[in-house]
Amino acid sequence: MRLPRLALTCWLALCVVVAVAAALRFQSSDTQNEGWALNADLRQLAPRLALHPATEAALDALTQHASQGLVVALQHPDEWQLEDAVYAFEDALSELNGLTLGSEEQALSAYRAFLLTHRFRMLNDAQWATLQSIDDATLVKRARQRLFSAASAMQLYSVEEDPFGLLNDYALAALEALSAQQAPADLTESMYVQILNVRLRDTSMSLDAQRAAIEELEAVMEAMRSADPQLSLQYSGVPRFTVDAAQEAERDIRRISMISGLGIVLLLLGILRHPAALLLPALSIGFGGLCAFVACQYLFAQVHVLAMVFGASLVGVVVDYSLHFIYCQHGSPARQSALYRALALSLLTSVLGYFALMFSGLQALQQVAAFSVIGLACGWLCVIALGPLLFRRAIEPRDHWLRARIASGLRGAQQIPKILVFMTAALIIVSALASLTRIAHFSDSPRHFFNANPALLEAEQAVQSLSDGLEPATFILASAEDASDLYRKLTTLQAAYPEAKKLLGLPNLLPAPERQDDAYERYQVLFREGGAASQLLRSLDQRPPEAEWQQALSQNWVRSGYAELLEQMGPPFDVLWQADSQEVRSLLFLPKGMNLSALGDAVAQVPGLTLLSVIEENTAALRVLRERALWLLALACGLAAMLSLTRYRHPRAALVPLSAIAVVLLVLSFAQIPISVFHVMALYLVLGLGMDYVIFVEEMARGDGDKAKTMTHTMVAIVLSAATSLLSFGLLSLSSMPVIQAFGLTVLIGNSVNLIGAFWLAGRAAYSATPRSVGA
Amino acid sequence: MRYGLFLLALITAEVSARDDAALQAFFPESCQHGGQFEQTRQSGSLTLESQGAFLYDCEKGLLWLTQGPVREAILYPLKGDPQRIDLQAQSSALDNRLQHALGRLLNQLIGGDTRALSHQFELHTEASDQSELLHLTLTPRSRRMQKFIRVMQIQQQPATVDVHLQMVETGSLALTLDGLQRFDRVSVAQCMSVLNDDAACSRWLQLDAR
Repeated sequence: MRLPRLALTCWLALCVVVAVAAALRFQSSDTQNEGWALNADLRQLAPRLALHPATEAALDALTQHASQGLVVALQHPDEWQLEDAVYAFEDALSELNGLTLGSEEQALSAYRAFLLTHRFRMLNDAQWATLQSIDDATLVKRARQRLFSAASAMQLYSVEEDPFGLLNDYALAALEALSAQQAPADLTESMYVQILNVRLRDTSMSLDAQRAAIEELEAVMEAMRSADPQLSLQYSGVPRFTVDAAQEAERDIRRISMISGLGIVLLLLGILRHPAALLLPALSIGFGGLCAFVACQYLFAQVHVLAMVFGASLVGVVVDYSLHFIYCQHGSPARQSALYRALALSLLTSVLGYFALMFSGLQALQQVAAFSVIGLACGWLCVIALGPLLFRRAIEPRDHWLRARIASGLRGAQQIPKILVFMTAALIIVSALASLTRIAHFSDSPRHFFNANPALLEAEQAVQSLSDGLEPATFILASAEDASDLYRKLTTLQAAYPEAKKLLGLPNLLPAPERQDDAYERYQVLFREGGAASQLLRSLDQRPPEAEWQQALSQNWVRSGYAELLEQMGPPFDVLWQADSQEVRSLLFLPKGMNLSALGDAVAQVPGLTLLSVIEENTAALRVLRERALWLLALACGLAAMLSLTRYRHPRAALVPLSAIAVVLLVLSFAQIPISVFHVMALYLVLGLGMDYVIFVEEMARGDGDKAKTMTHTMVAIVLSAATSLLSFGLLSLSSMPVIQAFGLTVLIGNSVNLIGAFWLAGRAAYSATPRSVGA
Repeated sequence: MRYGLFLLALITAEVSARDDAALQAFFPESCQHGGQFEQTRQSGSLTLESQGAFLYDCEKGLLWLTQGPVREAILYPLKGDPQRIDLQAQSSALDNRLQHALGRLLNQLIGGDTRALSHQFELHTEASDQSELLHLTLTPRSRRMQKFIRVMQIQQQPATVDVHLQMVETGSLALTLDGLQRFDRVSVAQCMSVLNDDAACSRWLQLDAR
């Protein structure tokens, strides 16, 4: 019993270390905002572009901004009844708790004020060209004409502030470009359309709060539809999809987890009749997962949520250790020795298999490797240390019927000719390899990970067709030495591809530095004492405020700051500019309907500009992840085969998990199910479980006593283990969520084959006349 | 005077009996009219006075001709971009949203589109004074219009109608409408009698109804 005591001491020490580490990390999260960090950005899985952290932050801010927005489209055949409906909708919205009308008025008001403060630096290209082509007298004449024009009845700035109307026109052009995205598309003859932006009131609303807000919105819309059947109301936006997907996932998980939880409890308690039979697997998985999480937080700056999910799933192999421990720990010393040997070997092979992911060169897969290896090792330690304490006496499982059937199954299995099994396995493996290159389909788009509700997609398309807007999640990233360089690059792009003038970004808000200097020089002349501006006002019998102009001119001698403006405008405009001592970076948005291919070609010709589609980046990242994971799975399989050959001097042990993986790939290929990274990661679990089964069969077969009895005993543990994994993972194949279904289906098929293979191996071990060969 | 009364009658009737089909009775038998205007724009301490004429067609839109101290003709069609018409009757588009909004408002105001006005503004009639002339206050309901117009007042005078727009940021605009003439179909002579501008009349008469 010295080993368990030592292990217990180690385990307790580890518990203390983990607890202290967790507490320290938790404390730092309060004080320095550096605590538990989970990353959910798919692009980070395998980033193709090394983006500056500030640009990453800007993209995150945009994603956050988009994740809160809803677009509501109201349609009515009567223009004025539609107007009434808009007022009614706005009124109703102001009464809601969770939603507010999206408004950029504050930002636009800040913009208007900023332009006024820096008015002697504002000229766009067209204005500059005009001022270059006319003399002061003509300018005064035109300005005078303009002042009496009906067209200038509504102005943003007073005549004293902007006598020539140049600032007004500059601001209007900017506002026109910025508000284009909110405008309804060309109206049909029969229907009028109004587009309203609605936002979640709080940036950190829980899913329940978001759901409540969506329900409130739908209630308002339903009431309005009832009041006016001719009114059509549609809405779309990320929160709607989020809430719907969460509801779907919740329904799924509740249904599946209830069945699987109940199944596992009934199975383990019904057969093992000991509460610790549930406690040991639960504790080992929980402790393993916790240790892995804490360790990864220290090893990596932040853990990707996908890495955590995959890693935690792979730690599920720990259940095997618990069940084998429960079944075998009270046998003869030789059997106990075989048990610990099997446990150690099983851990070693799984660790080696999962560790292969470390060679991926991708931090996401390295995180999976670290998480699963640490989690597995700690879970293993938990079983070794707590097992003897929880099961001081041997339990008496009520498994007679199961043993009888397993014994019968083993007798049947040993009769299957070895050559037939080897030939079949070889055929399956070769076919799987061929199918991977010939008929298998792959899917890496995050869009395919979730089954978007068709009704929601239809609403999304309907709303998008009704509004002008921006290409979703598509940007141009511009980086340059300084602002002048940035504007030069954009000018080069516009020269190569004139459509690029429609891009929305910083150039819509402020002129290039050089243009600002040109403007300032020109304005200095126009607004000097007795200059054109003074002449204009004097021609109207008005005393020109020359002192005020001179003061404003003297304040405007410094170029207008891009950062200053965007800071004043606030979100989402503040993402348009990031700068440090080395370079400046900006994001430009694409209006809908641009030819992305042609734009991409033009962008590629300008150094420093990059067309970034978040969806494509995510797809590419997941493709890289899947490909690397698949190659490394092959490496892990190779390691398993080597271990089998080294330890057992025969490849049959490795054939079991390899065949299981091959069968999964064949089924997926022939069923035309696109293979994703979720399938591949589940194959690691299949490999881990398969190697466990094989190792326990092989190692326990080396013990003393009745081989048939020992193998029956071992197979009971293996069948129970397979049943729990099929209940916990296999049932996921019933999920309606493609990602969950992919994982579940893979484990269901793969582990079933593992179990069949283990039966055949155990049958041969139980009834083989020759002693099993033993490695070194 | 007749025009002013007509306009006010429309609006007040709309206030008191919105959605009433009988409102249609207030619409003019002829949808074409024209008249003179005087405009006073107040911007800061600057007062800008101008005058001119206008023609309205309920199927075409509005032609707004400033005659003094500068000449400028702007066509605000019911559909499409507003256009500036030069002395050679050539037009150039004014294609920004502000001009669209201004054109719509002027068309609704001069055309007496009570339905449109009453949907966009909260209407408030003040009790008639001793002369029994009406005074109407219109406050924008639309958030977009609230950005520019604080309040609009329409005051019936014995011989004219005064329209006063108080802007949010940049002063105010006062219009006095006078000398209304109704037409069944505007002829060249009638157009010239109102506008006295060859280029504007030429463009107006070429304009197809929507």
